[in-house]
Amino acid sequence: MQSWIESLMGGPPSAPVALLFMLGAAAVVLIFIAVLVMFLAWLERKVAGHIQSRLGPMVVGGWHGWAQSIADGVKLFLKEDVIPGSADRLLFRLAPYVVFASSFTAFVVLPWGRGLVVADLNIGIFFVLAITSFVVVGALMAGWASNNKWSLFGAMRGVAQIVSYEIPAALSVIAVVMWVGSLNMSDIVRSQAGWFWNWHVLRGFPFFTIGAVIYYISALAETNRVPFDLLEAESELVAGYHTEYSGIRFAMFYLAEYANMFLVSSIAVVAFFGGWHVGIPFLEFIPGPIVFVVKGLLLVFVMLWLRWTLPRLRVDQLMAMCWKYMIPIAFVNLIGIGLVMLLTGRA
Amino acid sequence: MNALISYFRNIYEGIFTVLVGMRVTWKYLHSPAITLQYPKERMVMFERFRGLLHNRIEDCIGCGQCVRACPVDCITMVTLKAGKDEDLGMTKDGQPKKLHVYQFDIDTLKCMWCNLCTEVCPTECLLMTGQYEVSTYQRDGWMLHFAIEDPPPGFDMEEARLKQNRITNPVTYAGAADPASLEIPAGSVRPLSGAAEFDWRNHRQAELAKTAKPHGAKAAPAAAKPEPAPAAPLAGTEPEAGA
Repeated sequence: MQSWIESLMGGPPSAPVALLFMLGAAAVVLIFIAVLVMFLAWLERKVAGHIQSRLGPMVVGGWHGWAQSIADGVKLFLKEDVIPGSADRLLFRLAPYVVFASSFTAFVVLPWGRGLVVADLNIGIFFVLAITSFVVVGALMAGWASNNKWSLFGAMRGVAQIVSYEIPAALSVIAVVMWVGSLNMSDIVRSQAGWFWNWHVLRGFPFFTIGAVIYYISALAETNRVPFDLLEAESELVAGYHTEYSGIRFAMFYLAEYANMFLVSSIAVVAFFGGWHVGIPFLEFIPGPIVFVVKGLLLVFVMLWLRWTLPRLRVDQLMAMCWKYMIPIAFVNLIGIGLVMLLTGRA
Repeated sequence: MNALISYFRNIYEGIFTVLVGMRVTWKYLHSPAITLQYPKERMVMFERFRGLLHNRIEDCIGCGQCVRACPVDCITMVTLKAGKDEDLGMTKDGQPKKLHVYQFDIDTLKCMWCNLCTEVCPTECLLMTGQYEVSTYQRDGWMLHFAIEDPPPGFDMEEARLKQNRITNPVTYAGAADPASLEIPAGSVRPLSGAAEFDWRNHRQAELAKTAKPHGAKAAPAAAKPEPAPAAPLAGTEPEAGA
């Protein structure tokens, strides 16, 4: 993006112009997220419906209820913003923005296509892993500030869960970073050019395949989706950390949840599934962003599919799964990749 | 060693059972929805469904058996013997009509849907329809008037009503004081008034052929569904008396 601006302006842009470009890029990302989230919310309800032999929304907007998300969004915008009397007002108001900002910020480093990235950071994947951790802070803020025991329970569970599952997620991504030798997202995608067997998930069989599965499961846990939705756990904790939220603030949590789903899916696409590459060289004329979004949406679909398949884990099962299974396997995986690199002279 | 085996078995079972579950949900994802999109589609009621009562008044001989059969006295009937030279015509199954029917009101609020009145009806003009959507905006909507003949001048309806019925229904239910509030909003009336000529007996077969939705069939896109005719929702039922 910056190099593109520089070539457009013939030199580094002055500060106000750069700021303008930044705002423009932020607006584009924000609009993309909003549209995406509306689509995903609709898709979730349709998939849920059809898996349960129902239809899902069918009325609003005509064709299969396509405008349902818009109607819901308008409703949420117009709803009263209720803040509980004994809540910590500052933290209560701040929490949704922290949660949303963390997933929003991570979107800027996603490589949508060749050279099509808002901020091509050389620490891209590290940036994403770091910035998405902020969801924990926001969730804990929301749970604490609500002054509601269920909210706090949800937030505490969430912190334990997200902090735990970041480790296997990071370990499986580190394997890819080791292999590629770069933290830059575009570099990681570029190393998977050509046929689809060059994608890490297939080339590094079985290590990267296992790594991809581990990353995906951990990502599922990090986004607090079923079967890891202990933060919300609507049958035990009402709605977890966002029980007390309504209106636009609730919408922010909602927005962040679905944006996060797509975010972790696109990290998986970047690290394991070839990013913007189609995987078939003569189909490379298809624009990168389309390929990227389609791949991301396919992984999101699997998340929806899993949500309506699996029941929620217990807290001890959740922790056992992370610390007894995912982390050791991810470590063995990492060592395996290291050995392969050593033997093939890649290191 | 055992612990090691159970560790890997745990992993295997975890993955395997998730895949089994996903296969099941994948199958259901493609199975047709069983949803009936209610205002657009309506379920066709089964043959002996006890829905709203309907009287084909042109076949009614005014015998009053239904009034006597009714356990809750929800039918109010006023009749007058026809004069010697008067010919009221025949019913469909060839019985001569001998009584003028000036009032045939069914108070649906009282009706207990027991079906006794239709069993005794000798001409099978009183029957239970498949109509199950019986909510109205006014209490008057529950009072079904079927008589089409007006009493001759000088005929004391009030006296005849008290004489011919054990308990009489009010002619109408009083609504609110404001007459405007008594007006029934358009579209809220059950399409029964125009149904005097309706072929209840053959209707059900026709209705089945037209809108039958076999259990589990894929719902066609809503736009392709023909809008049901005004009287179509009233899937008729075959009266079983004499059958």
